[in-house]
Amino acid sequence: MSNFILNNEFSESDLGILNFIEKIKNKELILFETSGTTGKPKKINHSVESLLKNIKINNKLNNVVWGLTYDYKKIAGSQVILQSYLNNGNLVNLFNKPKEEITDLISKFNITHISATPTFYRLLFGDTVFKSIKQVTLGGEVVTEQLFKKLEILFPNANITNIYALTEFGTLLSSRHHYFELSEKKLEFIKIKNNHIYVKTDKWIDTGDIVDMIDLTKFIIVGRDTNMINVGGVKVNPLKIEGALNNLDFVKNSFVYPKKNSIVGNVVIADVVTNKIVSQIYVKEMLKNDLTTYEIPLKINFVEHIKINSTGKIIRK
Amino acid sequence: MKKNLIEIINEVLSDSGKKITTVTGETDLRKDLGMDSMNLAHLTVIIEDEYGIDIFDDGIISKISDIEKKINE
Repeated sequence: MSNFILNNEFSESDLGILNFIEKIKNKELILFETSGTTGKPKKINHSVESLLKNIKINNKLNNVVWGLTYDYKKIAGSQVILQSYLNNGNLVNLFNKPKEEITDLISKFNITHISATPTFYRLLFGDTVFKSIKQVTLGGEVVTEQLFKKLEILFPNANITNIYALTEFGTLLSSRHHYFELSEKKLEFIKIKNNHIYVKTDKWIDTGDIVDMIDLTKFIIVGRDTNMINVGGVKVNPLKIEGALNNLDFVKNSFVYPKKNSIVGNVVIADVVTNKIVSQIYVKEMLKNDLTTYEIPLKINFVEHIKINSTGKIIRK
Repeated sequence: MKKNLIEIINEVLSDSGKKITTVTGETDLRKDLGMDSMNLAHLTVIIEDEYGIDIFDDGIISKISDIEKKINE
């Protein structure tokens, strides 16, 4: 057990992870909260059996070094911990740590496997390249083609896996691209209707996740219905706008949200983290190729960082 | 220093490539300056930022003098 977590000094979070492992050993029921990214967090009880359902035991995973970027109290974190623990791997706790410390820990412990949100990876973009990483997993937020290409540069020796997972169902789809593909087998429990993803339990449930179809079987997840901003009667997707902003070379991260407006109901505002000084007018000009008038933020605030929640996603409340 | 009305209007109109140098109290935002609803929404966002007031919160503003009255209230 003492070798399981490689950090030198145990923090409260590290002790929490060890406590979680004890609960698994004792087969206790474990309570999780969904992230509440789009609304109130939901509390869900998981049995040990259900937590272990998606864990792969594989000799190839022995002795790998996982970087834990998620809160151990959330489903995504629990899956990384179990994957590591049950395969006799090692774990380095990167959760909630600043960029410099994460960069140092990846190098110091030769982290080989990492699972995180796009927001987490954007934090790492810069001059450093992480050659020790062999497996990169991402999910929980919209993944664009540009983000995928940047990850290939950031992690030149890694397999990159994009996953679509829901707390209630675990991992539903995985892909080696920014898009997902529906096979005959998957169609038995996932379908696309009116550009929404539906999942089958005893009946079909609308996940609220919105897709753009590339062809008959391939699609990109572009957002979530509850996130849409109504600007003068036009539904605008903030995640598409963030995607366009994040594609600009000088933008490190962005957060797009509505502001009440007496003329058009809501207007689009953006908080943007940049790596050089630019003007609002310049940013708006750069967005004109990709966005419509309704989508271009009327106001751009230049900020030092974007707030994220304990599951590594941008807080949208 | 707060932006004056001409600067604010030009910032809003820059999206459509227009630029003005003078306005009078009688200048109409829609008829004379060609502003559409998104331009007016933009105008409210900038004025709220600069002066801390929503000029459209209790009715329709059509002329420059209406804005000046609101700002000076």
